Amino acid sequence: MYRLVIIVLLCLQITSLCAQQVLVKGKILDEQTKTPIPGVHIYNFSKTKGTAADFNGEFQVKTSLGDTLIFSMIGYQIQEYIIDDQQIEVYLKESSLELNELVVLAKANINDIDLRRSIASVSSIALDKIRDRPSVNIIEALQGQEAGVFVQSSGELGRPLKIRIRGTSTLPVKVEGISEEERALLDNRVNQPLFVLDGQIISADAFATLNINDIQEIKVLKDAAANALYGVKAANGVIEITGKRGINGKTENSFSFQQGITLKGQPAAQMMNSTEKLEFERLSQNQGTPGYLYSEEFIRRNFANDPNLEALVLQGAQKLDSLRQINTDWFEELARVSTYQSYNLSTRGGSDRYRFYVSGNYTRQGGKFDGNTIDRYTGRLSYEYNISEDLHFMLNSGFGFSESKTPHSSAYSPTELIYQLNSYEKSVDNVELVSFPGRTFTNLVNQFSKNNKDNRFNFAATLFSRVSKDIQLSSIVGMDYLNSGSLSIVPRDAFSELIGIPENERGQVRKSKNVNINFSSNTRINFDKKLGDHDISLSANFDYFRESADFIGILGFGLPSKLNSGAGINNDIEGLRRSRTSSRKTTTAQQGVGFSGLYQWKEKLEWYASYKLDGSSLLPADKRWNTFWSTGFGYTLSNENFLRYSTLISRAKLRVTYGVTASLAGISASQAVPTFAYSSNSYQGIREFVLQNLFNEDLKPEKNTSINIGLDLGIASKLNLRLEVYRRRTEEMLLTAPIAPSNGFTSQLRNVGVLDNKGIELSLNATIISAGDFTWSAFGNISYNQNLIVDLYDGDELNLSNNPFPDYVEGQPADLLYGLVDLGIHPVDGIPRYRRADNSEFHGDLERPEAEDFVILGNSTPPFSGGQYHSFRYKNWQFSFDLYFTFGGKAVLNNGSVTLNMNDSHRNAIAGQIGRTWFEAGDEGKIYPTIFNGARGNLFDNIGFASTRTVDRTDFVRLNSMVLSYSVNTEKLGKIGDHINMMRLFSQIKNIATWSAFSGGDPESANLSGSAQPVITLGLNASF
Amino acid sequence: MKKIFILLLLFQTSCNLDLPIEDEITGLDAIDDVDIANEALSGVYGALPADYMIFSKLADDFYPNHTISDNRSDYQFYRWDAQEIRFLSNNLWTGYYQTISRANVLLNQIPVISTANSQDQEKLDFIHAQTLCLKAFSYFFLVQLYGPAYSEANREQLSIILKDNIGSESLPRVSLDKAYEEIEEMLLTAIELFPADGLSKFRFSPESAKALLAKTYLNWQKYDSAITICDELLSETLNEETYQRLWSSPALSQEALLVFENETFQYASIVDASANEDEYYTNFEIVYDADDYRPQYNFIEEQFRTLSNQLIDVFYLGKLRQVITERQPRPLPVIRLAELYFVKSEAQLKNSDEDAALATLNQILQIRGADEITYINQPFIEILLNEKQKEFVGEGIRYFDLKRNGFELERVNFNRNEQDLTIAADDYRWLLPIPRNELEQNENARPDNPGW
Repeated sequence: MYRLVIIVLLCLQITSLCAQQVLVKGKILDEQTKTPIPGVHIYNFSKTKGTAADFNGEFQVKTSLGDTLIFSMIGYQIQEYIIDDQQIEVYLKESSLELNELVVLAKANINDIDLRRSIASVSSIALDKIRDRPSVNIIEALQGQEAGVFVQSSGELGRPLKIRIRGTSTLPVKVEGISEEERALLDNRVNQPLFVLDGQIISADAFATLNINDIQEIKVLKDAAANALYGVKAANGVIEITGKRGINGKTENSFSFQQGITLKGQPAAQMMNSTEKLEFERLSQNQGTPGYLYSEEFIRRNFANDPNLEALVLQGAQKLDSLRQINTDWFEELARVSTYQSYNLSTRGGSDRYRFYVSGNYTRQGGKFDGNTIDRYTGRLSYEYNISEDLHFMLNSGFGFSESKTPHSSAYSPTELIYQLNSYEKSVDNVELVSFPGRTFTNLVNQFSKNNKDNRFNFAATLFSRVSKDIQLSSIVGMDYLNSGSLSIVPRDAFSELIGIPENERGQVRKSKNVNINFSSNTRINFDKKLGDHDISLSANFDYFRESADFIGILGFGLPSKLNSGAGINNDIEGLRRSRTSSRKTTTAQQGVGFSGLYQWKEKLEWYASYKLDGSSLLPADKRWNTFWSTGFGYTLSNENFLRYSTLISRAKLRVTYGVTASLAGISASQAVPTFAYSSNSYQGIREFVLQNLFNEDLKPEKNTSINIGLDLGIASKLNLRLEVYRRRTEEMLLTAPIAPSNGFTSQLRNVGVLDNKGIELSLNATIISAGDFTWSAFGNISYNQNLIVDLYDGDELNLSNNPFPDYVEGQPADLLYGLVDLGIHPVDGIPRYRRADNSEFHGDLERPEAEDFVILGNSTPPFSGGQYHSFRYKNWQFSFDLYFTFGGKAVLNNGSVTLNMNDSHRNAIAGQIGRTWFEAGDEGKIYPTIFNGARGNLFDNIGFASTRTVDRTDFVRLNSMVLSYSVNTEKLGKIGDHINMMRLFSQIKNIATWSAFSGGDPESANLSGSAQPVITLGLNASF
Repeated sequence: MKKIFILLLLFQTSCNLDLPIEDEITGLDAIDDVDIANEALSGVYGALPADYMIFSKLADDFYPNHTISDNRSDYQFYRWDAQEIRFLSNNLWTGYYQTISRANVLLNQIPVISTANSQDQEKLDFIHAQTLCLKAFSYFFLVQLYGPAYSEANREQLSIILKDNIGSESLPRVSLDKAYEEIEEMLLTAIELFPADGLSKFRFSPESAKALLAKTYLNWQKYDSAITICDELLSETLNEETYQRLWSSPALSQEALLVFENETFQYASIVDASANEDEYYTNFEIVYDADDYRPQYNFIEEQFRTLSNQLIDVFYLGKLRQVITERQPRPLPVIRLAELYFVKSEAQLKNSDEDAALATLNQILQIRGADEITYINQPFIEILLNEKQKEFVGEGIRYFDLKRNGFELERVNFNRNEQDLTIAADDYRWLLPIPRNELEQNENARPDNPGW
């Protein structure tokens, strides 16, 4: 009996031992490339619970030894793994046509074919690194995440971001007479990559509003071998986005929310306080400022004969004293602490027959200024159906509604007012401001409001079929619809509407609607054959893309008192303030046919080639067709016998590609053929019919040639390294170049020259420590890109901006900063001296610099940029942070807040300017010239040029985000826990700190308005 | 399943790349009938620079007052700051050549436009005539701005670029003589083409074309021709009523020969819109006789507080507005009949017929209710130009008169309106600089005017 009890007890113990939960840690790698696969879905069959691998392919699950885990990932064969250890490594095999069911093969993007992948420069961005980041613009989150992908923000929320893959393919636009923002948009249009969502082309705007939680994977295509499949649209690289899809298994519901606050951040520059400002005003002797007007010297000089002179002096002093008591911090006054919130719900599931994924998201981000918000709703639906064993159907669709509100004037933006209003002024509404004569504070705010709405909807249907054992046929038809509207209003009581305008004509409404419809279709046939050691893949496709934009706008005046909308326009006004409408519709189309093939020998040697023929409606029929081709060679050293069994080198592959692509970006029909249009003006009631552009009948598409050499290295299963060296040459570079204005136009689109982009990219994925409960894994990349103007067709210099120095010179980079050598402010006259080319000195006011006096001060685009991401995991805790850095760039210090003339001293100036400004003879070592320069010579022109004093390095390192998260042990939650697969709590801070020696505000945008706001949030992810 | 793919393939092969541009018309032959030619003509009128106030500021029609202190660039412009003059030059050069280029598109197309009947042909001739006048008008301004005042000595000096083709060219500047010949030829052709009647003052007419020709002859020192044309035109009777109507509805006044439709408030550049005050009042030296009826239309009398806190009486510019807060654009008289009296008088004077010149001047003075001039105590040309300034204050005429006659010009400071700067008669800035982008992109346009 006793024995029996013991046996039973032992058995019990053994069973309880067997059933004991252990923490299993693992890493999932691609069998062939030995690189970690992020985001793999991991399903615990016996516990019917699922989880996913992180950015480095790593995961941990609480399970029992002997349980079975199922690993599934699009593009890979499903792998079952019986847990035999607490540390496991799982290798997934790519799916192949011969072995797998169609459902496994089906990819939303039918251009994402494996044959290009093995040689071309294609890399995927592990989104887990950025998923927790509170952001309404996904482009912003991509900064520093991938070598060779350069993202730059101009500083202000809502302004266009710059995204480039391997540098700019053409020279930056320098047309005069357009705003910085328009210039940025023009530049983006010709240099930004192509965005493809689930095989369908979408606009950059549509991409920016995607919800990161709906995205499974983002791939970046960098070289010609990868881009050639997309033809004429893809010369600047491609970003392929794969949306989340359904799974085969138990339905999984996820919920996540994130909520937090948006802090004010720091002002980009410290401004003068009241005491310093009043003293500065006295010194600058500007009668429009109280500092001088109430000063003793002014009163004594102007009222010398007044019997009450002493009383006046006393009054003045008292007045100044009372002003000194006021110290308004305009940054504090105008900037707001705001909120961020985001909610996300999704469900996915399916069976062998069908799969689905549905999600919805709501995000709201508050801006730095009162009433400035962005609201966004997005949704996604993915549905797949297996019609038969050889026919698979997929439908992907999504929508996004976003609304952004800017309640403040564009002319008096709070971002600028912070640096203009004096600290002795107050935000009361009945006192005239010194900084803005004739206006009160109320006259500066609420003068203008703008409301932008973007409604996006996209839809794509894909059909896959296996025609025979070796042949797969797929086709996609998709549409992307973007309806954007904006409404801007100048209210009837705005200051600008009050004077000289009859009462019934006050108020201004501008309303516009723009509908963009992209239609794309693509049909592709793939052939795969393995014959012994020979592996052949061939593919051919036919694609068509049509893009149409339909714009309508109204501008009207005369708002009634109660209505601030388009309906309020008074249509009876005649003359200048009459209502105006405008409308424009353009349609362009491209079609192409392509072929590509891959030959592989013994999984060691590979040869790839592609050919594409693309036609565009933009050019006349005889010049419409362009060819693209690429070829590449790959050698997998690690499959050679001498490395095959190496435990250290798990992977070594050398890749070389060469290819030619063409680009039509930036060409519109009116630039190639004479095109007339009606303008919105008329003379004597007869509409103006005018030639749009000085057409260039010799216009040719840009030609891009790229060479890419890559090395992939895997060391044990711990470290993966990717090194690429490339050269990208753009010939027939298109540029809107100035022409002699006597031709009636000031610019014309021309083929101007040849530009090279050369660079090196290195990225690393590493598991640095994996010991016990602790894992430290990291990701890092650094890239170097430098461009060089190889040839200019029209002489060896190109001067676009009418500066004494050239904008572009053969044999030099395209982004040089030219400037003068500043020899300092002369202590006798307060005028700067500059150095001439012959080392003599010249007077900053009486003389002008000659072209040769300008020296190269540096590059405006930093050649080095990169990022780092570290993740530390201990038990259920995970901490990660993300760094971004750039090196080697320089920028001109923004002089915006330095007062350079006494007449401007009514606005606030940068703190400490008194000490640095020359006021009287003998002031040594000053850096700002005299402000008494009324009868001016060349001083302002000379100060306006960059100089050795006003240029500074923009090198910076920024701590972009930190996340601390805790995975809740659902077992401990009792009954509720049984229903919860995963629960994770996290807290993060975004835009934490920037380390830089740059003295002109934000080093990234090199301006004062661009100061990133820290965002602190708390969040929860759960799936059940 | 195969059907689906066949359908898809069919669908794709039917894709087309010949897409018409919906709101635009391609090809130079788009201008193929009279109506569309008339629309293209609207574009030529629309491109013409129409701000004449800038020339009044450069001349001495105005005094800046202290409210200009927060508008430094405008004050620098008044002071003939080289950089500000460059900006002006860029705008004018670009604007006038844009007008010329639009005129060229039309002029090149007019010969191939077919007309169905004589009525259409007459319409087309009218369009042709106006286009020529607009082009001549642009050349006329350009040559006055970029060329020196004409004389036997400098007739071969470089003036402007003559442009007839569409397309990017690098053309040289032609001589002063050549430019005037071109203007004369175009105007003479145009005068022949004008229809006999049904003309509006909002468009060029034989009268305005002739007036422009008279001004051209005066500049070109062809005084007899100038006098002949003036005599042809000076038949209308002018009086206070016509003068009043000139400013309220110029198209109905006999005073106006050419009026431009105007969408912008003409005096915007002398008004500080945010502070709601005029930055300039008229020159205190412009004084009228007691019975002269012009001041009440030319001026708005107000009180002005100076920096030293005194209230003074000043005269703001009236003409196209009745109160200084008015901002409504009004049609702009561009060529006025009254100017021909002054053109004729100056031509007579330069033809060494001072008595005739005085008689002509007294004609217009009499019309305006001013005292006749009987006693000449200073050079007659000075009297003539001062009288002309009284008539045309704020209309941008004086700048060209001073330049043509080689007068120096005084600048005052805004604090006390004391003269503290003189622009000498031979100052280099009387010839505007050729814009940098022209010199840069067109080496044949070099060299720049001397001094720049």
